[in-house]
Amino acid sequence: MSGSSGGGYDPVPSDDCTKLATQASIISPDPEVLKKISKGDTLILKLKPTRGPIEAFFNKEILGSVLAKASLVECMNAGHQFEGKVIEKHGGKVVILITPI
Amino acid sequence: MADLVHKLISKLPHQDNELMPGVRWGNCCQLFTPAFWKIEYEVNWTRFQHTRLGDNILEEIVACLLGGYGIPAEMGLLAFERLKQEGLIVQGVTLKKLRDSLYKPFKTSNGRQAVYRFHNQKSKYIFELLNRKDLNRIPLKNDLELREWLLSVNGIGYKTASWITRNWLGSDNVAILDIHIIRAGQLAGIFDMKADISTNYCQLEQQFLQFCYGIEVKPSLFDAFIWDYMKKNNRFALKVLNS
Repeated sequence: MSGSSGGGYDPVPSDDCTKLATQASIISPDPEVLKKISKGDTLILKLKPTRGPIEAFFNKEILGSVLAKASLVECMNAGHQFEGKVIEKHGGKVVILITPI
Repeated sequence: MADLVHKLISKLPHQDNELMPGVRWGNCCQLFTPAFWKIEYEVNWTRFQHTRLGDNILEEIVACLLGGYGIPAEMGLLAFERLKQEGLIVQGVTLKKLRDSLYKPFKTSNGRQAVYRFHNQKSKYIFELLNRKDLNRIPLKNDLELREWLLSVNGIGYKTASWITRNWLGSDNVAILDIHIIRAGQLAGIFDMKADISTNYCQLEQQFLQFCYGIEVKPSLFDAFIWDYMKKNNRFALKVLNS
């Protein structure tokens, strides 16, 4: 299918996992855990191998899953660890900035 | 972006709901599920469009004939541009002129000289096409009729015929199935792990189109979108497929 129009994905090779930073939304956050988090809090991210989902934890409680790109899942499968900083919280909407630990 | 994603997710059916026989929507946070593709498509589809490569149907056929398996997209387009500039995409052109033109090295975008592989074979296909007697009767108003006609051209199989039909008519009745689309379909559960486009193209195409209708996406953009995503994540997709 050469000749197809291109898109905007930038694949991140494994050796660039240490530089990967991306924003993502938390899907269906748990209302009880949601009450406990604030902008600026850090969430621990864990991957269910091999293709996800990636789950976000706050103080060992699961907040919800992360809508993430293949590059992040690939990096986590390769053993790289990431955390998410809450940069937006509005009602049930939570957006995090994901960076390597 | 976050608002759009939340809005889309709120409208997704439950992950256990059946999308088509034997295929569930799945978790949108798990890569390659139908729900995942739906969200990714809705967020990114505007980056994709189908475009014509040629100014007329003969040019379009030649452009696509020059591309395809084993030929980098850039080389295919360079070869097409040369034939066009040299005025060789015309009825009655000779085989020698085509062969001589494609034989000469090309200068690629990185400044290197490169030869066009298969120049003998492709020249022959193009010569045969441009010397057919029925070129004024190509069915250009109906996508499936056009594809059927294209399949009568030596060197064109279902994938290339579908590609030309898509480009020329913007058809949503055909799908351009290649290994990347097949892998995505296998990961989403719509294709059997033994799916083979060389023997079963039409059936797989129907399954793919049914999938598109099920998740309410435009096939003419969706296969281009999936193709791009899978190509860029090819290594990982293969790993998941084999896991």
